[in-house]
Amino acid sequence: MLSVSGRLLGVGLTVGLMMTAGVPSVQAASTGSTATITGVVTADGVPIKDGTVTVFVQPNLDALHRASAGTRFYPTRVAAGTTDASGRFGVTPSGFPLNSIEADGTANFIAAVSDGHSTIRWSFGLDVSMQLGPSPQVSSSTAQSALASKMHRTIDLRIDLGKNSGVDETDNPAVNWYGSVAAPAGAASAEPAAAGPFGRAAPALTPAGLIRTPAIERTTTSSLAPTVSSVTAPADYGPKGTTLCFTQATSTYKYAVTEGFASAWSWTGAKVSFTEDNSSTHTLGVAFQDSTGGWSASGSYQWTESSGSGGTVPGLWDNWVENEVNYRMYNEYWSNYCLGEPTEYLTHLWQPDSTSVLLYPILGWSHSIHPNWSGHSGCGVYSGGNMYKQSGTDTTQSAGVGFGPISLSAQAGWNSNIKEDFIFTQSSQLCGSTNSGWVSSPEAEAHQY
Amino acid sequence: MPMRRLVEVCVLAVLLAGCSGQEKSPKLSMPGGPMPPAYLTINDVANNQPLSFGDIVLCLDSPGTVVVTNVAIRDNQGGLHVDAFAVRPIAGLANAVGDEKQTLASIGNGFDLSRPQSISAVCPPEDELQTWNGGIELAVQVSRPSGDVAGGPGLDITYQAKGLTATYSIPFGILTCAATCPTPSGWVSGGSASP
Repeated sequence: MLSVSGRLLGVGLTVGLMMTAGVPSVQAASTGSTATITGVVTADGVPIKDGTVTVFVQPNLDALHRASAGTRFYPTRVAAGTTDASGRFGVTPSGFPLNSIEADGTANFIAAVSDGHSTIRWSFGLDVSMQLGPSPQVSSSTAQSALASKMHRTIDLRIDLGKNSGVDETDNPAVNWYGSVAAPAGAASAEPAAAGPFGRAAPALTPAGLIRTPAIERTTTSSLAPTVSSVTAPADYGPKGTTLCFTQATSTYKYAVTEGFASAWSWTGAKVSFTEDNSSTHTLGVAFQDSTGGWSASGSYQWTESSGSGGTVPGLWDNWVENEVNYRMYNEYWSNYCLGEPTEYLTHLWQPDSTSVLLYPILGWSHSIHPNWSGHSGCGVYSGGNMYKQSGTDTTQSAGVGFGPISLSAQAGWNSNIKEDFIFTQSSQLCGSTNSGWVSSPEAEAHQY
Repeated sequence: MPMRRLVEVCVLAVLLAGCSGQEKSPKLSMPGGPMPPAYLTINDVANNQPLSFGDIVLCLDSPGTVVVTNVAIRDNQGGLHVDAFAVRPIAGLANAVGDEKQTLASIGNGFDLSRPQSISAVCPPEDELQTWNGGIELAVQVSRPSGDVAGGPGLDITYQAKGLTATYSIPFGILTCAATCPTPSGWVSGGSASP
């Protein structure tokens, strides 16, 4: 289907992709309005009965960002539950302190899941705007904006506490993380590879760098220090290490961590202009470092660019579009019962702190290996004009964060305004990622035709 | 007597089935639900030059058949005229209609303007969207009688199903220009079905 005609056309045809929350709609509140956390807990695939799930809400990222080193935050326990015989659980967080709510009506949580011997902690963001009611911190417009984002009110986790411990999120599979992009079948292209406009090479993130196995603590072999708590916990408190006593800001940062934010799948005859509008929301991975220095992923947080941020980068074709984010380390003190200075478990959590650079383009990959969907139905050939597409609320750009020692998850597009324009200067075939044409497909690519 | 009872039951069942058999009229839709806004602007189009565009994939929300009877430019500015429209299965085609400066009749290849423009394909469930290949492409042929710029931000697709007439409005904008088109502003509001 792919041919190389080399037909030179005048500057003229532009195809744009835009991912957005769409028009805010009150009606959207009629379904799934309550944030829920569900999942299954197993040990090497065997369901765990009576496992504990304890959920804490974190201070919002702005409050954390502004905190001086040494400042303590005392997270609120907002949900707790146990697993049934099939290992399933479902909890609804409630009772959020005001300083936990982000500007867009979301909140970031950390859950501790334990079977009494092993504990996994996992971070995630949820849209809780519908549970807030009138609030001086959440305007009606931001609440409605969050309403339009229907994906973030629930999270479904699959947690294995066994020897091959791991956590997977239904809507954020690790295979989509940065560094795992693989060319689809039939991706070979006859088009000539073109030199990128930017000299920087893609970071060397290999699939091996994708670590979805979270830190796991086993009380029988715990090396996490120090343990000073001698308080007997009340009966309704969970196993050791499942109660977050406080979070302490540190002065340790990791600057300009690369977030693979989006991709420009096109060629030199159809350059892409990429725009990230104000206040776009995406998720950024959270890194965990244990006392031995070992790194692991620990979920992800909702991250909203501050109003006024954003920009446009034109002239892309085989590029990644990246953001660079500063991360800050926080000490987290865990116990099973917090009284005085219980520090049974000290963990280091690295969280996104501030934006360093938005929309930094790099040459992402060889042209010959990025997706070519010419085998799909619904490809169209365009030869003079402008086209624009706005994707739906479900559109997700799965990318990731190259944190250094590991790669973390990242997604964008749920509640953001991200626009991608293909500017055609030569005859090009535009294809969608499905057989339903580029208009209805979540993603599109253009290639020479 | 048991046989008579059985007959009565069967008759009742048939009647009930007949009542409940009033299947709802299928509604025109798109794979994956309502389409997000999109538009096409085409440069260097002379007055009265035929121009065809397509790649608008349609399907039905439930089994049945609808017949597309009209396509209109919503909020038409400049008097862009719809000269023809047609549908065809998209599977197996080398390409959908991109922007073609020719008539649908000359494009052919599955478009038959002499027949009712019927659609029977049912939209796929969400988990089959990635591989589903049963869509029906709608293509539209337009011309600009005069002026330098003409078009509108959406299409109103009128169709008939079970004797009822309905309109499916989609936010697919079209703009044709004698030279280079300006970037339309305010063309990103969502569309809706309004049967």
